[in-house]
Amino acid sequence: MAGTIAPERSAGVEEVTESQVTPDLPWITVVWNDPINLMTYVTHVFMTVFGYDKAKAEKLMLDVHRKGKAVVSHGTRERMELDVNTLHGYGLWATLQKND
Amino acid sequence: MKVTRQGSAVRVRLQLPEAHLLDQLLAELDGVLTPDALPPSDPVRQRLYPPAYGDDADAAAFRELTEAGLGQDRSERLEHCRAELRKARSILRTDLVLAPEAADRWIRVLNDARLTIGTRLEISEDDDGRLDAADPDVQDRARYVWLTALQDLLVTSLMGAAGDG
Repeated sequence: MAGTIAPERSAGVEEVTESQVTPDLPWITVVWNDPINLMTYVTHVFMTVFGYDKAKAEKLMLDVHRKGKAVVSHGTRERMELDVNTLHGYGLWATLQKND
Repeated sequence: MKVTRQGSAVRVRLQLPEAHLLDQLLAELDGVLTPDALPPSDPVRQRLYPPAYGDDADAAAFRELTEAGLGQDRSERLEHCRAELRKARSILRTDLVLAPEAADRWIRVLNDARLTIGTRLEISEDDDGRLDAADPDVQDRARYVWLTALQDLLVTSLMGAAGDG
């Protein structure tokens, strides 16, 4: 996926199908605030990786900036591991955890 | 440095000393980017390859699976950008004309450079980018500020270009 600008998946579609076939509890991807990544850059990453529109990407970015973190995606554990790996490739501080 | 849009592409124009500086910064990045380049306790390595889980065992297992691939992707992006820069450099000026995919790649490489230098400088949330001649790190801070400006211009130009469809 290196270097692609196309959204790597469309938001919220696979969630429905996956919950029908797997008993896995929903997991979430969390992005944490850090002092180096620029606000414009973080917005760019959310738009590029998740295909979010600018308004949604900016809202999530501001949550990271002001509240210290934001939940940026949810789904199966495998899906969230992919998301975290992609975000690490962009230099964002991302973790995954069970949504409870 | 001047960043302008050219249709869906972004053009970065650098003067000779700026192109030299960028070349130097990317060459320095080459030695620290992959996970095996630095000891696990190094803050730069920890920043570029952060834990994916709060739980140490889960984080270690995830790292085992992903770290080498992330490092290889980072190196390939860096090599690609360095080759583009070498090709674009001239005595008069350097013009990089970047399609959206290339612009995204450059933005990521610049971010890796900022993460590396910024972590060494222990940049904090309160850092306002002001320079102090008495600061022993003033040169690295100036380079960090310049990289930040270049990355920010590139991101906002790319977003504007994308927004106009």
